Amino acid sequence: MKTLLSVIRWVFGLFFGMGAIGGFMSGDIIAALFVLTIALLLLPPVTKALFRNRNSFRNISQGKGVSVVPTAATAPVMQPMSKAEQAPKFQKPSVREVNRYMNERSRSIVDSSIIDVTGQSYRIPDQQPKSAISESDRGVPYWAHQYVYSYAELNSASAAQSNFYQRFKASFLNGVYLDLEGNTNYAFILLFDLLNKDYEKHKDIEKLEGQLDALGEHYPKTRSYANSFLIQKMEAAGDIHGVDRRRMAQYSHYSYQSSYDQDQWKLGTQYKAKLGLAEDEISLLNKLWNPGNTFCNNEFCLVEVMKLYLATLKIFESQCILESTTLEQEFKAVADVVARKYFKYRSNSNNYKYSLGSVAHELYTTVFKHCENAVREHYSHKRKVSTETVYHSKPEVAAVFEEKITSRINAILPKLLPSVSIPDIPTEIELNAQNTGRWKTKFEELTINFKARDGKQFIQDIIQLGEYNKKNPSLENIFFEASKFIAKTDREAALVLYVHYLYHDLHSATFNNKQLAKTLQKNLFQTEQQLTDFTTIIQELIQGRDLEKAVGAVAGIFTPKRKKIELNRAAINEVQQQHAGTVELLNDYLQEEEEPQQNAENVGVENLGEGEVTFENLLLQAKGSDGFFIEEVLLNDAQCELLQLFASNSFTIAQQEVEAFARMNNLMRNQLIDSINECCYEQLDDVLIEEDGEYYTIYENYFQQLIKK
Amino acid sequence: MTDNIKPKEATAIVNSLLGGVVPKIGVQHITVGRSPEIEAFINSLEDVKNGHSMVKFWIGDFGSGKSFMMHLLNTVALKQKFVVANADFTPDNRLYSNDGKAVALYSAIMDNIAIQTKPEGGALATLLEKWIEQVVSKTAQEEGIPLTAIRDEQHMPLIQRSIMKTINEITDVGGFDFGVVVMKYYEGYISDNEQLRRSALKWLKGEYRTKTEARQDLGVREIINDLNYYDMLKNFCRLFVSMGYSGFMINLDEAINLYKISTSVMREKNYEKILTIYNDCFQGKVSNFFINFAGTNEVLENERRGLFSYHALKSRLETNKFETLQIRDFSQPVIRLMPLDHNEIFVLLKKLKVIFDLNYKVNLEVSDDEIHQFMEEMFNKPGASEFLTPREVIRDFLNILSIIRQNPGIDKKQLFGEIEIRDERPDESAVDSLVDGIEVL
Repeated sequence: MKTLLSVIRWVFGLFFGMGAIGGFMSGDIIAALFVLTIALLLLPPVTKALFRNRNSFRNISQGKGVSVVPTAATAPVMQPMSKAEQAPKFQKPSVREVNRYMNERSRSIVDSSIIDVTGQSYRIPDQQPKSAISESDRGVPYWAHQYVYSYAELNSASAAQSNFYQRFKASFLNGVYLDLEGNTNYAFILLFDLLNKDYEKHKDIEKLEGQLDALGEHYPKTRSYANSFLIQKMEAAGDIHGVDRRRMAQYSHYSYQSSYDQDQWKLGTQYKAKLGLAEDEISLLNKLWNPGNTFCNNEFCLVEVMKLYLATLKIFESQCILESTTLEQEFKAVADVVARKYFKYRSNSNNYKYSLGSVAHELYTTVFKHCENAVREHYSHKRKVSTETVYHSKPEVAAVFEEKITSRINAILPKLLPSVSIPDIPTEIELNAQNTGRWKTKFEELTINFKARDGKQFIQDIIQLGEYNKKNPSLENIFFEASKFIAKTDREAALVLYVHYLYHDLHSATFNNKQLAKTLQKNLFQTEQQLTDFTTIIQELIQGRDLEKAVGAVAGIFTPKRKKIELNRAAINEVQQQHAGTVELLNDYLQEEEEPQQNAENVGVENLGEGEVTFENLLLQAKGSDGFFIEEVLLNDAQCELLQLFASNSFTIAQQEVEAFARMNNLMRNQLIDSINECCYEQLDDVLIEEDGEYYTIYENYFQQLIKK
Repeated sequence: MTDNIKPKEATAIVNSLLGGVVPKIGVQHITVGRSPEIEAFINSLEDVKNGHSMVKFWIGDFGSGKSFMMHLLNTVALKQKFVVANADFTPDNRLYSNDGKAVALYSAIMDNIAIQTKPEGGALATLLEKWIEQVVSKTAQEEGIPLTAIRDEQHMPLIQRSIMKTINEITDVGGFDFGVVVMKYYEGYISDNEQLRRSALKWLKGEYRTKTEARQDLGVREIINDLNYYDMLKNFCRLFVSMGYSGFMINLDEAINLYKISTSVMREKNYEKILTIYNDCFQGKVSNFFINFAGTNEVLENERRGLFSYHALKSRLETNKFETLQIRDFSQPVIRLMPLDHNEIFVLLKKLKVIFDLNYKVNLEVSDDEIHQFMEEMFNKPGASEFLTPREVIRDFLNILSIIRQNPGIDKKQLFGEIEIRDERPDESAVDSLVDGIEVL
């Protein structure tokens, strides 16, 4: 059926087309055009194209179809809109809208898996507040977006559009605000309608203001235009107050938005909850721009600087009060000098007034920088921020800065610094990463406080220092220096620290593998074995990167290896036998009997001359035989007498006395004593008479051994 | 095992060793591991007794037993009727000098002259008197004068003539002055002039520093000085032998002090003196003379400052090239004292335990395994490898035995664990470096 209808339309279409051509050729152009129109309308492709265009526009305007995001082709030239207005409609649909759309879509997917593009349409719920905007009962005729310059634009609208507009206006005037479903042309037509047509009739500017306010409120795109047109009308009507009021409203609207943006990211607003700041403190902090440097990027440091800044300003202010002035006044005084001397503005000129405000603001930043520097110094952060401003280039300005601000701040800060908190561990780590030489201060403290032979504690301290420096690229140097330091006092600790050094060196950007000095190595390793053991540990560490294993192994280097003593039974027996032989041999020599001794003596004496008789022998011949002494001891009379003299003198006689005795007996003292000792030696196996300074003494027990019992 | 140890010897051994010194008697019972050395020494002593002369160098590291061996030599030599003298080289005592340091060594030797009945030294006067007695009695017999009358002053010229005659017979260089001084001694005795006798002894000991002084006191023109002291030693040696003694033995310890002489010329002169003595002894220029030097390895072998730095000595003292650690040659002039091995120390400790038991008449329960364990503990103590000596092992072992004896139930393991090794070496490193420094300059 459809095909038949199409064929008929083609036939008639072509027929009328041919007729139109004939008309053009005959010169009857009007009739020819008319016939051509009929012919075109009859041709199916033309009608199809016309309908497709219309449906697609409608679908797009109603949010139907495949996409809700307008493409370059579909996006019409629209009235200028603010982002806030534009966003909810097309570019940035709210999450709720998207969800709703997705639900609808998923429902349709459930119903039929194919989306037919037909003439039927679905409604996407309106974004306008439902309380204020009513939905149109019969729908809003689509009206492609276009710039609307006057009410006359309505003339180009279709009948449906015109009808809808009339209805829309009537509703608006009755306080019912229809949902335009994005067709803002109606709102703008209404705007011009109210401004020109209606106002010309009633000339009531207040009524117009009320109507435009309502229009702006419910159709926000029109707000700014409405306001500016209204101001024009008010100016035309001579309503100056009205103009001011509208302008003020416009300004406050913009300023509200801008002031919110300014303070939102300022320090006071940001940290008011976190630090429990009072209003005045918030205001003081909001005078600053976020410093945004590496030091203050660390929140702990920033907070400490802020605290110090607030405390400093508090004291500063109290000092000012004592001097019958205020902080503001002092800052203003500096700003005044800057404005006059640096900018060379005339007093009370607009520039002068403006610069007073801006310079005073900058002064707070200067105070903050001083505080920041103090905290940096306190935390051993090497780099400082410059506290000088461009104004310091003028000496007179710099002098005022020094006098009014810097000198006072410098006096206040040292008192407040002790209250600055010690950095927490993450901050320490961060600071050490920023200052690669910061560890040296702490290291120096450790070395100064190092107590000799407390190596384990030192290792722990260094490891902790290493933890604080784990992000520091110089981390390995801490362990290397520590190893060098302790090498003289604790060898094991030095090696443990060296292992730590090597481990961190392995994990650093470049593997330096620094060696300890030769002299230190000599001190560390007393034997070759120790050095070999340590080299093995190091090689294993480099290969396996197992720090714990290496540290554990270091302790074993200096543990003495227990030596096993192997005894050889056969060797022992041999030694024993040899020793027995030696003892026997020595016994022969050391424990000779009296006889061989006598012989030896005689042999010696014989050396003097064969058959000669010695003095001693002569004396022996005259041996006393009183029977007091045992027979084994061959003593002569003089010797016996002397011994008896000893006995009667408690076994101690002065040398002089012995000398006298010897002389009396025609003998020599030393020879007499020696001869007695010699006679008794074999019996006693020791010397009988001993010299004791100026005396001769006899050990009583020995004497007892010589006398007959 | 007891080897006929006498209780008296046991006591002496235990007491002396506890005190860290060599015992006076019974030393033969602790001569473990030194059998070949002792044998060699005994043989040498026999040779000297028979008229030969000998020089021996006892070389060993700290704690190797040099002092022990010296002491043993002393003991045996004294028993063998030797006159023995001990002296140490010091920075002020040396063999050659021209500032009195050589004669100082001579004085030290003469001061320490010991005989069996006077083992602690100072026997010169005794020996002198003994010799004079012999001369007197001989003169009395020759002249037919009764012994009771021979000491009269009228017979003094006879005695003096006899003394001079004997002295002339036995001495060569410096014999006249030597005889005069001995006569002066006798004169002092006869005339009861103690001062004269002291002066004579002072001269004989080389304590006169100026000739004038000696002439005033004794009327002699010469004194014993750095140059002639060695001749006097030889004279004394002949004198002692003539008196009936087996010989004269001189032990010179701490030869490191010659090594430490900072000027190389002076050091060489001293080594030259050693060479002279060595040559005299082995070439038979002196009889019955036995001289021992004791020093460390570096004293002998250091090519720059040791005895080997003097080529003539090096060629004489070099080790028999066929000798090894196992095959030893103890007939060489140099006897190296090797440290005792573990087996020898084990035998020594076992012997000490027996001696200790004998001394205290107990039988301590210390097994061989426990002795072994004690040794292991000792050798595993920190510093053991550097400065553990037999002296310390012995002393600690005896100390532990003492504790066990007095506390029978005590834990021996714990006792062994408490041992500490101390460095008992003299601090010589500082001196060495100083000497090196001076020499470099």
